[in-house]
Amino acid sequence: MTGPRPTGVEGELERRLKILARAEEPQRRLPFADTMAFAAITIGSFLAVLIAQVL
Amino acid sequence: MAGSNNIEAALAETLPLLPEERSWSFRDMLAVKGGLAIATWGFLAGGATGQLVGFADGMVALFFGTALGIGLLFFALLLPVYRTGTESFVFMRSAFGPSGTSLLAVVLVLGVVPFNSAILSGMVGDATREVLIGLEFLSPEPVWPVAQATALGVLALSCLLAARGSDTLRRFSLAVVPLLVLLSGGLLLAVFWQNGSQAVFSAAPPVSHFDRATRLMLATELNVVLALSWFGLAGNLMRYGRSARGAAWGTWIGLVPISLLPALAGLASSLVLGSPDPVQWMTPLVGPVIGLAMLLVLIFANLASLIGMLQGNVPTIVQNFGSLARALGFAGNVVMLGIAAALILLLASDTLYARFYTVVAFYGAVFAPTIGILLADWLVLRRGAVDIRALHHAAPGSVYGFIAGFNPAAMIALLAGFGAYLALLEPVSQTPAAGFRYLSATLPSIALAFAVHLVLSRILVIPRDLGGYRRGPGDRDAAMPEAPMI
Repeated sequence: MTGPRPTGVEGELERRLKILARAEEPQRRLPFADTMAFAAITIGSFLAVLIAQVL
Repeated sequence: MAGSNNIEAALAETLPLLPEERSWSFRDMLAVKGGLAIATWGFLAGGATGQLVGFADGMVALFFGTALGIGLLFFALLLPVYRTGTESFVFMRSAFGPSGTSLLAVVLVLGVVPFNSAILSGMVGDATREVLIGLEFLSPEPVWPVAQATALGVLALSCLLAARGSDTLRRFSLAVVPLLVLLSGGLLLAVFWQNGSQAVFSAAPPVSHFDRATRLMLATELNVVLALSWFGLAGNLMRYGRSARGAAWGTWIGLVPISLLPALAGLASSLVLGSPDPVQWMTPLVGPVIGLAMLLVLIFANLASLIGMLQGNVPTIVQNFGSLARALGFAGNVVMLGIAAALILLLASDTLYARFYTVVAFYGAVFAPTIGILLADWLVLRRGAVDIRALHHAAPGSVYGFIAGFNPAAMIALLAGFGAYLALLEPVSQTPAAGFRYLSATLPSIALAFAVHLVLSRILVIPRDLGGYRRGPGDRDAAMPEAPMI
């Protein structure tokens, strides 16, 4: 394994930031429907516990 | 793997990932997260749940508690980290400042990872000893510390594999996770088969002076906190996903439904057999041949989880503990974590399981307000935009430098949420206060930290032009034309 140097990390960071600034990145945002599904599951999970308490 | 010419590829991947490095499919992500979830902690979570409630309520607490915790973690940390491609705690600098984040990393990573590694490797050692005794290679009272020696050996092996980088973790998980699912499902079926479903469903937890509703909320709280404790590790590994949808659902299915398999087995066995630890009852329950095969698979389960935990947490250490951590490189930091875990294993192994629940409860008091602050900062104050270059140069005086590296609004909100949590649930004796029964401790703590962070940011931080909250996308473009904006 190549021995890393602290300056190597900084240089690699700069290289990556330049590539990312130029790259045509695919969409990294979760689709709206999926986001809503996760939100509904999360809120619904707590409500389900409250309902189970009274059953 | 796309590394650079002068640093190791694994070390390079602690920085923002390049598009070609984000190559994991849904199946890859599901395997890695499933491999993390099926291990000792799955059985222990079920067993701890079984100390509070019966099987039916336990299923409710396990599924909905875990789903609630993972859901909160998604919106506060995992989805932003996936979008930015940065290491989880580097992303958190936008809310806490670089010094505040490093302080949290000490508590949430250095305080957790060696402890969990010791538990996992300890269980591998116990399982191996049982296998050898079952094959009559060892006497029931072995003279040599076989379990401890094996645990240390497996710890060393996991360090070796983790140091090889993310692709080793992916390939290992793909190979072993189908076996792990079969193991967990098989153990659950074995408990039901031997004891009957009626016995499992009618088994009562130990006597408690709390009413059923309170015990159900205590069990739910436990599983919420356990889910939150995946924290930065889950985010760091989720970055490798090729698509947002595949990364998110692979993570959710791996950490919620798949994690329930060992948890339900642990819950059922703790209720009817008196122990959640499969090493104690697996061989007597299913016979020597199947039992020994299952024990061998269990060794792989903990090994997969250990590799994932090390692989997912080392980027946090590399990026948040200064030049010394960077100079050690990825492999060097894996070794340091392994040494810390080995010391815990050698010096504190007798008390690890007994104190597991107590320790987790204290973590909850830190995780909950942290989630609240991240939700307020990312969703409300920043509206889903951070400057990746500034995150990596967050020295005092820079955009995310705040005051001496600390965001005062976030740190005060953290203390407020921490206090709120402890006021609602005393973690050592597990004594809940009024209001806990229907509110839990995590949700009020999140809500208070969320509100305090919003108010103090608008009163103290934003008017002083700290934290880059006033910078619009146009400002960022003009100031740093090559700074990627997320």
